[in-house]
Amino acid sequence: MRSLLPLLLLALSAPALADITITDAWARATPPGARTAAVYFTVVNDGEAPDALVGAATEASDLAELHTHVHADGMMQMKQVPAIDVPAGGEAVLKPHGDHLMLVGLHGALAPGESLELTLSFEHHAQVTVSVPIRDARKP
Amino acid sequence: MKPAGIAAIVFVGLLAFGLGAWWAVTSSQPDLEMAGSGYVLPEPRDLPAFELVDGQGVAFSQTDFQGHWSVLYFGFTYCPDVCPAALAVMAQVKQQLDGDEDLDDRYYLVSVDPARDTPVRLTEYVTYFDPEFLGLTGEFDQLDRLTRAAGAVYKVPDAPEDDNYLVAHSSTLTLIDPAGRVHAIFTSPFDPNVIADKLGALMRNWKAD
Ligand SMILES: [Cu+2]
Repeated sequence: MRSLLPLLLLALSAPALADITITDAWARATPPGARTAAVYFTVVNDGEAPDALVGAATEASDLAELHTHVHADGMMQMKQVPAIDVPAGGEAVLKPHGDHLMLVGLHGALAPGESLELTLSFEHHAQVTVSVPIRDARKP
Repeated sequence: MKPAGIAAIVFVGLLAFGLGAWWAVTSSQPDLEMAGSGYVLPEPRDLPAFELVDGQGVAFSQTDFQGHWSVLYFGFTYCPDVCPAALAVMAQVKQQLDGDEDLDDRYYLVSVDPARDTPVRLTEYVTYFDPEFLGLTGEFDQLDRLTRAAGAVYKVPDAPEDDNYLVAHSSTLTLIDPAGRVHAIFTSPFDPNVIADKLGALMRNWKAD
């Protein structure tokens, strides 16, 4: 019992907050001349409160927009969304053909083996900066 | 609404009707149905007359599809997610069929975004996925003739605010036979191994009539 006390005190002192980590981040390497690119990652929330990804920024492009894919009328359509929810104790998965971060107005080609710096903003949690490896996705 | 917008809506109806019709036929003839990966048309469909441009800026009409097999993907180069994934699949399919010397198969990205996708830009883009990939594009009214016959749909915004607009499009691979007729349509999600198998079989078993 004595050994649990410090943990208990720690838990009591911590307010119910989102506890955010970013995993599995990667960006699709771009064809020459590309003006757009897609970035994928998983937002893991180990906290007791829900949060939401509300923005992103990188020096690799003019804009970094949160996008989802809408399937309607036999078409795939990308739509910008203001936020992507990250439930308490859950995760938000950004992946090909689903939610993704779209870089618009690329400043240069994204070359495989390199990485880009990405700053993510949340509704509650402090900003998180991640280094995103760039991957050649032409091969399975 | 621009003609392209109205046309796109009409196409949606046609596509829905078309898919239903194919399904009705293919489901009663299992050999025509490709296990959820797509559909072989019960009767190959002639292409209407159209005038597009290829990746060199040279005029390209429906008769230019004759004499070889063609696999078409409809998309746009500003597409960062769906299109690169589809073109990567198309490249894997091509590589799997490259060993068969008897097949004359060509692969095209048809851009439905001619305002941004110039022939030069298209060629730069497609050859990243395979050096032999080809680009096609053209005016909306001409593109519409091909997409309608090929079972593809798309929608370009009528009056985009800037150059960063998004294009909605179907994600299918259309097979055109050496007679220049729509022969089969592969639907996503794509499995390159399955598509290469089916495509190879369709091409090898085909007989001109
Ligand atoms: Cu997007």
